[in-house]
Amino acid sequence: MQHLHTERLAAFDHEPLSASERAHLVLCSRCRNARDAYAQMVLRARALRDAELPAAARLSTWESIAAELRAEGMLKGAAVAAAPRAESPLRRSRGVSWHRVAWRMAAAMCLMLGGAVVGRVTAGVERVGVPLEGAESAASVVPSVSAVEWQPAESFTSVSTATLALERAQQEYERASLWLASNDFGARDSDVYRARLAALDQMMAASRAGLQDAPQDPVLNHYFLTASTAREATLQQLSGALPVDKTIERY
Amino acid sequence: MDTDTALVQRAIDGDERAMRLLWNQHAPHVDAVVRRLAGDPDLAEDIAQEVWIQIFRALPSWRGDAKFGTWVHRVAINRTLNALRCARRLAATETAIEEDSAAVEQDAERTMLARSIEDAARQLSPGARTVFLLHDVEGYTHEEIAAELGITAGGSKSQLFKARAKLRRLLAPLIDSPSSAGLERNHAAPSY
Repeated sequence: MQHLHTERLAAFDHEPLSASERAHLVLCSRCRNARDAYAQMVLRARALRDAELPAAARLSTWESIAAELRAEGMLKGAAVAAAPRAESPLRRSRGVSWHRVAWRMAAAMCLMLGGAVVGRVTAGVERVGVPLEGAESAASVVPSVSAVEWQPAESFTSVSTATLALERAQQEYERASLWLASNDFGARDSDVYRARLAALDQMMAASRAGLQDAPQDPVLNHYFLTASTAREATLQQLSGALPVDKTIERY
Repeated sequence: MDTDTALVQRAIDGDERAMRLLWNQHAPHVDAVVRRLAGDPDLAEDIAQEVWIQIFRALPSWRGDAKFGTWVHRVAINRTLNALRCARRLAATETAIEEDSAAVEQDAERTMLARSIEDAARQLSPGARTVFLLHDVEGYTHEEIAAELGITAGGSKSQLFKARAKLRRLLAPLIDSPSSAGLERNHAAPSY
């Protein structure tokens, strides 16, 4: 009997072989090996769907997607676009220490948490003189944020006012985090980022667990989103801190 | 309410941060799907943004009965196919069925051996590549592929087998055992 046709073998998982074809397969190692090769190829193809994705440049940017969504009226509020990514971190000045980055992140966090605390504590209170020290210090070290003026409220007269301030503070925090991720690659020690990622994962797990019980709670939602944003920024920084031939697989 | 559900609800309400988080979490996977199906990197870039816009438009239709990632994956495939169709990349699918068989024979010898299945798939015709990716990678049935591409289930099978045959040739060093990589051998004794 002649060898089985290529496409007959390629259909190994679709159409059962006839008795004579099976008999040939038993005797012919070439056809048997060809059938096994097809089977292996299909297995490999199936594995592609869930394979670990190689690091590759994104095909889209959030800024362009957001612009289109905004034009369609699907996005509420003004643009909260991240600062554009700068050139490769490897070509960037390396004069900034990771301590400064950590301090800036902490300052931004203080700013946001301060806003949250003030918002919660002062709801319905006529005036509380809680100085937003974080705002001042953060503004002094993150000059890019000055593009959108930070206006610390002296008092909050309603929950909605406080919530609005909280939203604004979070947006500033988010902008600052993403700006730092895009522009400040002073930290070269990836262990710092890995430790931060592990901590952020714990924070996200805690807020996620909280959301199971109180899914609509705005504070828990804010914590979760904030931790997610910080995680995203840290991943960007970690990617910048790694040698070019390394990609993030786990930490 | 799980995290995806909460995020999706916020995204439906127009919360940009929630939308961006969804994009950030799922973009690598969506990009991989678009890259595979589009084949051409420039075309993939053109399609990706449109896919995401469609995903956000369709968010209210996600009912939570499937994982959000699975739903996104499906939407990404459908929208990519739509975009490819609009780009007339699939216009010649049916006619390519017959042409493919001749092309497989003619160009198999002169094409470079591929380093991976995805590399090799790029050397297939658009129609054959789409059928192969939908069936063997994404797990679509031939009936689903037929409905998606506007061809018959038989045509889908035919495309698939031809695509597999060409891919096997391109991938010979990766998937063929040494004994099958060579030329015709004498019939060996059964190995059972």
